[in-house]
Amino acid sequence: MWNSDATGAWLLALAVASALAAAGCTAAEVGTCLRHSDCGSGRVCSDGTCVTQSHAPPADVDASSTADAAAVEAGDGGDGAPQAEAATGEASEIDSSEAGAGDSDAAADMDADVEAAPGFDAQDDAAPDGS
Amino acid sequence: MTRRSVMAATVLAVTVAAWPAAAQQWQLGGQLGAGSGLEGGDPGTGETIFRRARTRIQVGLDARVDETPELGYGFLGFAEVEPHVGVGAELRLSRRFGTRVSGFVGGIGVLAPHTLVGGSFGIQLLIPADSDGSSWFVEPAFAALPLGTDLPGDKVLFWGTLTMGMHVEL
Repeated sequence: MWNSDATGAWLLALAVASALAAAGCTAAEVGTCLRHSDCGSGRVCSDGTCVTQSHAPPADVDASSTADAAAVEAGDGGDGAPQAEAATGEASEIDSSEAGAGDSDAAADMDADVEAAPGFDAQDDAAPDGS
Repeated sequence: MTRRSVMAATVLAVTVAAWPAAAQQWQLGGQLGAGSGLEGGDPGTGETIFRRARTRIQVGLDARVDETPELGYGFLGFAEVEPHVGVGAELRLSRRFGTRVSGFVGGIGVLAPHTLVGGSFGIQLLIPADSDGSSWFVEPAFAALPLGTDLPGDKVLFWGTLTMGMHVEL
């Protein structure tokens, strides 16, 4: 009884393994994730790769109505200004004449917003932790 | 998919809820094991890939009614220990085929740090270890998990695992 039962069980296990192989499945490359928990804290699995978790995009702020954004466009914010122009279409529509010149704090704020904007979120990071 | 999951969970719950009459006796068993296997799915690339599943330790309790000892119910808790950690549980309905082999179907889920929910089936082979009712067990199992927050997308995660350990009659 035991031998026939055991043989049947192992044959079933073998059949499952064979079915998987026959299905054309491939082995995952090192660093590929299948679950969000494969990635470290603050990262998620997207298309098999761990990426930095997207923060919620900034609220729908009409950049043309904010002096902060205008200050960035005016170029008073230093290095942050060109990045802002490249990242947000709204900023490029701002008339520099409306800008509050010399508002370096505002420029810094905008710089931070740009980092949180879509397009800067999903950056490929290292392989999944420990796998 | 959700409807099927609800149907399966309902069938399992109704079956488990069939409490025995007073003259019947529970036959309880416990098990402790460890295992791993293969974990597969489509990560969003359109290709199904497989890799080694997380190593897990599981502790379980099973119950049978003496009038129908071929039918059993089981509850297992498991912990994924490497390369990433997680905890989960499984409810099973099992049926013995002969004295040393049983098959089971059930619902399985990971509860933390993210959730996964699905169904499972497998077989358990018992190899007598002692005359007091303890046995070694070997358990190949398969699970499909289509639901949960741990999934990157609308894909199904598959587990093919092999668990080995000790089973004792309580």
